Amino acid sequence: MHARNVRLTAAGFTLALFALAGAAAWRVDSRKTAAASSQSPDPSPAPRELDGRALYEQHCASCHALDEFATTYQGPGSGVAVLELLEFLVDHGGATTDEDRAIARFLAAP
Amino acid sequence: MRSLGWFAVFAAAVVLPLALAWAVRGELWSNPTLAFGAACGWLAFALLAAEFGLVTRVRAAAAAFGSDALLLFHRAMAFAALALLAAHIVALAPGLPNPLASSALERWGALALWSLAALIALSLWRRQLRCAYELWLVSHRVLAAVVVLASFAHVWPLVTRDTLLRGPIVAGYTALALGALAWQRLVRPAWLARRAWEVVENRDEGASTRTLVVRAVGHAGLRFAPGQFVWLRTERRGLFAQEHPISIASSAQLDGGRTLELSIKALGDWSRELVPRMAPGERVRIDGPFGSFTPDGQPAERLVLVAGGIGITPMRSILLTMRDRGDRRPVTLFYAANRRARAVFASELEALRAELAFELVFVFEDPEPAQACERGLLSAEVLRRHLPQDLRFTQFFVCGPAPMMDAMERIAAQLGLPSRQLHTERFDMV
Repeated sequence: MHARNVRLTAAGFTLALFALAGAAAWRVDSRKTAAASSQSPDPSPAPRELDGRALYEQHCASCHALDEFATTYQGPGSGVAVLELLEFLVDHGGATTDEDRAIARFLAAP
Repeated sequence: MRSLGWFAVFAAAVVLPLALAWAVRGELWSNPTLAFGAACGWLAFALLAAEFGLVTRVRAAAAAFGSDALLLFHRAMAFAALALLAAHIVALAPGLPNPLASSALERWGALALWSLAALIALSLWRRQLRCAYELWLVSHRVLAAVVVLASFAHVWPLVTRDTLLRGPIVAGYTALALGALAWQRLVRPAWLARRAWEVVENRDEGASTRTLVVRAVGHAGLRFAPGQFVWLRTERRGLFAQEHPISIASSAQLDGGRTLELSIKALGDWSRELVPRMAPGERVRIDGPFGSFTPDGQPAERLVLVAGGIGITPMRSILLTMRDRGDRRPVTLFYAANRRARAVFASELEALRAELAFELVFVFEDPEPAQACERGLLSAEVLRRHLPQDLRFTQFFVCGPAPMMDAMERIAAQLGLPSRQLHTERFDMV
């Protein structure tokens, strides 16, 4: 196989991987947009989505005010902090892993 | 088609963890930038693990692409993994990752990233850094293991409690990568030790080249196709035993595969210092044969061989095999070297003209004034002067140093040669 073909294949494959990562971002964005546009008078969570806010209030709010988290877990550069928060939540308290994810997602949401 | 199948397996292995991350109910990220960063992280993790598969010497995969193509792809994929890791960091936590950070997550991630960067830098600039090949090989394997283990330590705490398959997938990928390394360094050498070979002759061919003639000890040897190569492992230095890819220079018909000739040019410490000292009776291990650089199975009415420097060795094997099989198809060899004194096997090749339908064209950069040869570098004009116009049923085999190989790919395009008619074997890639 020619070196040129190998390089082209490698470049194409790398671009495809970045496109996949981009699709992951687009998926999240479109999900958010869809959720925002389908707001009904009764904003109950989608059947498969756990309500992060309700879970936060149930498991965390008695000891931790929401303001404590805003600067740490929201916005650019908060990735590692959010992952560490998830680790912390998984190791502490009585919520399930799915509930911990929902809480972390809620706290990380701008 | 075989190559497409192997590529599909590789691509699926790289994408699977991300697909599972997508499938996880309640995926963490609600922010597109962070989701992009996480996806890049998953892809980089899987790609780094899959990299080990590319260099595990799976013969079927090597036969589908060629071992040099797999190595080139392996190298390109390391850059891809580094780019994905960079995107992962920029999206999730911009800034230079600190391997001494208090956060374990950042610490392991940083260690993986910097180890990968060091591994790539050492591979790119080994010669400029005056790093011996043997030292490079050991450092490459150690750094590769560190990259995978640090990546695992970085990812594992985030997936261990997943209800879906991500925990086992992460553990499985890590185990497969390290398993491939262990297979290569421990299991296969132990198996090869039971199929020893011994040096029966160590011949000086001139032009800084020696030929080791090795014979199978207590086993049937190996069957190979002319043009293929083996990994030669010398027994000295124990765990740090040196292993080098060497083209077989002898006829595939010689002694039923029990005797091989391996011609080695003095290009580094091993070939300059250790190889000349190897004495008859010394044991070596041989892993192979590998590679798809062979005219066997190719529908060709004419063969064109293009060799540069020590790239002559697989051509010698092809020509001697044609002689021994009574193959009278026309064959033209373009042999590029600095001058005749640097063209190893020159006299032997000239003698083959009497036994084959064979045209030998020397292309010397700096020939003696009276030398009958093409002068300068290989070019489309040189090839056109010696080849018929109709090349539709001709297969080209090219082996030489990287600049010559790149030039030949351009020349092949100028000649209008379809890629299926051009077979290449690169060496000296690190």
